[in-house]
Amino acid sequence: MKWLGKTALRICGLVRRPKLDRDLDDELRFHLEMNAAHGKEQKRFGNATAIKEACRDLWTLGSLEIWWQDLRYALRVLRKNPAFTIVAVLTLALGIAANTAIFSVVNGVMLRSLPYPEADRIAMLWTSTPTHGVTERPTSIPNYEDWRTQTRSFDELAFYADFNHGVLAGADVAESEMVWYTWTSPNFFRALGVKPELGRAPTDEEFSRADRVIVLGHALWQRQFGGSPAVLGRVINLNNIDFQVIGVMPPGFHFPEERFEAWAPATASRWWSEYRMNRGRGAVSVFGRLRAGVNMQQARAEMTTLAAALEKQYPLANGMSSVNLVPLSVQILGTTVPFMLTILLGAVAFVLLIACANVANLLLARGAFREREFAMRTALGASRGRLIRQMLTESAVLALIAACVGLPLAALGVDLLVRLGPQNIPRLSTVTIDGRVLLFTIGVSVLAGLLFGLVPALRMPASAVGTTVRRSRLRGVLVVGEFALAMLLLTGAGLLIRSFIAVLAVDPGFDPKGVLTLRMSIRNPAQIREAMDRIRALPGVQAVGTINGIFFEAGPKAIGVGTFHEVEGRPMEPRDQWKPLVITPNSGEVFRALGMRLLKGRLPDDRDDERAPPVVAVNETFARRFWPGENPIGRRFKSTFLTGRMEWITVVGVVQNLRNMGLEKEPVSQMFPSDKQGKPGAHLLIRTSTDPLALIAAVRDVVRGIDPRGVVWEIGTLEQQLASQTAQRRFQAWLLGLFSAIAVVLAGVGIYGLLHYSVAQRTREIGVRIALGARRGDVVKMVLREGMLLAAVGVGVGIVAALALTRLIASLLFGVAADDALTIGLVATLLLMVACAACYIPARRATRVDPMTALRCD
Amino acid sequence: MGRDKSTGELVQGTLDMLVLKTLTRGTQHGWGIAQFIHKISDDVLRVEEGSLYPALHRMELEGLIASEWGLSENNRRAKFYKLTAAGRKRLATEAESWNRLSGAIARVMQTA
Repeated sequence: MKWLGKTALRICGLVRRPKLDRDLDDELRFHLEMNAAHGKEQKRFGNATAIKEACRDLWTLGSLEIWWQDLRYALRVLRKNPAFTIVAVLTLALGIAANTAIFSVVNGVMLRSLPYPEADRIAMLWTSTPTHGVTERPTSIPNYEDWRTQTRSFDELAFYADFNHGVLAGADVAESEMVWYTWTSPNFFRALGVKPELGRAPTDEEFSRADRVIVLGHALWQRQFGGSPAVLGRVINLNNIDFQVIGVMPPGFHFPEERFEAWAPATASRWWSEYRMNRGRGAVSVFGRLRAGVNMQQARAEMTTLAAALEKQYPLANGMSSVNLVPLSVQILGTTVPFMLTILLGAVAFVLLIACANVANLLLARGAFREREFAMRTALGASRGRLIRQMLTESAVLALIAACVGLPLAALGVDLLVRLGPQNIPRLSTVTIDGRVLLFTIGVSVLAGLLFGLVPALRMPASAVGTTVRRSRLRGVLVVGEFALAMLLLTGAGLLIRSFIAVLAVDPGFDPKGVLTLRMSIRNPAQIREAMDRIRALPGVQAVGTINGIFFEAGPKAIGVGTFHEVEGRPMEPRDQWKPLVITPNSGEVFRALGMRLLKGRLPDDRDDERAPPVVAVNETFARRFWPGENPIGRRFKSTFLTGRMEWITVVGVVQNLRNMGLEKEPVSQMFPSDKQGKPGAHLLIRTSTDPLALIAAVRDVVRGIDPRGVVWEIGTLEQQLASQTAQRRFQAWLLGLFSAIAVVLAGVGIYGLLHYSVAQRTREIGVRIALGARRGDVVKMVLREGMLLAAVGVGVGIVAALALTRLIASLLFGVAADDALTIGLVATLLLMVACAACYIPARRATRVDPMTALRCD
Repeated sequence: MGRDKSTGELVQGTLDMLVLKTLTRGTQHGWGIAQFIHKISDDVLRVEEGSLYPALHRMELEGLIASEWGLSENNRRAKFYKLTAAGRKRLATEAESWNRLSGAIARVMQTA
C-alpha cells in the first residue's frame, strides 16, 4: 500500500513538475546564498545539476521519464544521421527477416502442437522386429485386439489401414475422382479427440454391424458437394462400395496423412473377415492416447512386456516381434526435417551475428565522433551508467526499427518458403507468422540490439585517453569475426551446393524428357492393354508402357537367395549376405518409354505368356551380383516370385541400371518379368515428341471411353518426378547459398566501412607520406594490406572452424567430403576477392588525398 | 576523490538519523540542518549538499518529515522541514539501535 501511495505521489509529481523544479531551484539557491553570506567557498558545493537530478528522480517517475527522454533523444540522433541509420537498419532488417522467416517454419512445423487436444499424449504403436532392424510394421488385428484389451497405459487404442484409394462416384458427386481413404477402428476419432464439424462419427454398433457409413474430409466435401449440409444421408460410391455419408470433419483434419479424405469403419472392408482372424498378417497401424498420469516411458515398458507375452503365446505368428512406441509428433516430423531446419536456423543466426558485428562496427566508428558529446554530457552531470543506458536505448530503438522493416520482408520470405519448400516437410503449408513468431522477432531484435549496443557502450571511455587505439583494435576483431563466420557459412553452403550438383549429375538410368506419367483407375489387364493401344495411336506418342514405380523410397522387401532358393550352379548364401532385390511389374514398351537401354539378350514380351517358361530381364547389379564376369543370358534361378509356385526362372536379358533406390543410393538388384507372367505396372508412362502435359485431356478421354467412371490421377512428367527427388537438396542449397551470399556481402560492407573510416582518420599521415614521395601504388598497398590482413585472419579462423563444424553436416553431403579442400579453397578465394574489392575503394580514395589539404586540416 | 578522511563521511541511514535528531529542536531549513550538524559535531561531520537534499526529499516522500515554505532569519524565502509523528517514531528506533551498536563497538574497542 505504501508503494501505491508513493507511486501516486510520483504521478502527481509528474503533473506538478514545473512547480517542483522551481521549488528545487529556490531551495538550492537559498543554500548557495547562505553559503556566500557566511563566506564559504562556492566550489565545495557539489554539482548542482546532479543534486537536482537526484532530487527530481525521487519526486517523479524518474526511470520512466528518463527512458522517455532517452527514447526521444535516440530517435533524434537516428534522424540526424540518415546514412548511418539506413545502413544499420537495412543490415539488421536482413538478418532479422531471415531469422524470422526460418523460425516461422521451425515454429509451424516443429514447435506448434498437432491439431489434436493434448496431442503430445498420442503415440503410434508399431510392430517391430528388432533383430532385423525393422522398426515400423503394421500390426495384425488379433494382436491389436489383445493390446487393446490388456493395456493399462492407454485410454484408447485405435487403428487405421491406410493402403486404400478408389474412385469416388455417385449421383451427387460433382466429378468422379480418385480419393484416398482409410479403414478405421470405431474409436478412431475418439482417440484423436476430434469431432466432425457436421454430422457424427460412426458408432460402435455401426462398427459391429459392418454398416457402410463414411465420414468425409472438409476439402472433399467442399469440392464435391459444394459444402452443402444436405450431404448427410446421401449415398456415395467409393471404390465400388456404396457408403452413406454420416459426417464431415473440420478443415485441417488430415489423418494419418494429408492426402486422406474419407474414413469408414474397417468392418465394412472386403478384407476384414479375412484379416481379423489372421495373427500373422500385419494389417493396421495402431495409435493410442495415453491414460492420465502415464508417461511414454511407462507405456513403452508395459507394451514391451505385453508384446513379449504375446510372442511366447503365439510363437509362429509373433516370432521375434516386439512393439515400438513413437510419439505422434516424432512420427509425423521424421528425422531429416528437424535436422535440416536446425542447420538453417544455425545459418541465419550466423547471418544475424554478422549483421550485429557490422552495426557494432558502425556504432564504434560513430562513437569516435560522439566522444565530444559524451564528454560534454559527463561534465553536465550525467553518470557513466546513464550514458551507457542512453546508448543501449539507441541500439534497442535501432533494432526495433529494423524489426519493423524486417517483418514484411520475413512475411515475403515465409510465403516463398511455403511455396518453394519441398513436399516432405509436413505441415509446411500451414506455416504463418503468428504471435510466437512475433515474440521471437522482438526478442531477437532486442537481443541483437543489446549485443551490438553493449560492445561500444562498454568501450565508452571514462576518460578519452588512448581509446582511439583500443577502439580500432576492437573494430578489427569484429571484422575478423565477420569473415570467420562468413567463411564458415560459405563452406557449408559450398559443400551442399557441390552435393546438389553431384546429385544432379547422377544418371538416373532413364531419359526423363518428354514423358507423361499418370495412374489410371482401370485395373483389368485386358482393359489396360486396350487403353495403351488407344493412347499409342494418339498423335505425337512414341511409346507407352507401365511400371510399378521407379524409385522405391520405402525400401523394398529384402529378399536373398533364401526365398529365392537357389541360383543354378551356386551354393546357398548365408543370410547375412543377402541383399535387397526388387521385382518390378511392367508392361508395354516401358523400356522405350523410359529410354532405358537393353545391354544383352532380349526383353520379355508377349511370347512369354502363362504357358511359356518363365523368363525375366535383370539389371546390371543383378547380373554382376550372381554372374560376375559371365554371360547371365540363359542362366536360371529358382523362385516363387512370379506365380507363387517354386519354379525355374530364366534370365533372357540384361538392362541398364535404374537408380531404383533414389538418386543418392546405389541401385539394388531388380528384375522385370513380362506382364503376362507377372502383371502390369501401376504407373502409365507415355513418351511423346510434343509437350507431354498437352496430352492429359486426350488420355483422360481414352480412359473414360473404356470405363465411363474411370479417372486418371497423380499426373505429372517424369522430369517433375525426377526433380522431386532433388527438391530437398535444391531447397537446402538455395537457402544456404542465399544466406551465405548475404553473409559475404555484409562482411564486405563491414571491411569497407572499417577501412573507409581508417583512411579518413589517417588523412594526415597519408598526406605526409605522399608529400614525402610515396607513390599511389604504395598508398594503395598500405591500405590494402591493413584490410587484407584482417580478412585473411578471419578466413583462416573460418577454415579452422569449418573443418571442425562441417563434420556435423557430413550426412547431408553427397559425392564430396566434409573437409573437401577444393571447396574450402574456392570459397576462401571468393571471400578474399570480395574483401579485396571492398578494400580497394577506400584504398583508391586514399591515393586521392591532396597532401596540402591534408596537412592543413586540423 | 581524495577526501580528508577525518571530516567523516556519513553513512546513508546515519544521515537520516542525524537530520531527524536535528529537527527535534524545531523546524529548520536545509542549510540550517547542515550547519547544525557541522557545529555540534565540532566540525567533524560535514554534510554534503549532494547527499543532504536528496535525503530530505526522500524522507519527505516517506512521510518522516514535512515541509513548508517560510522566511529565514535573514528574511529569505526558504523551505523549512519539520518532524512528523512517523519521523519521531523512526528516530526512536534508529537511536536505540544506534546506541546499542555504538555501545557494542565501544566495548569491543576497549577490551581488544
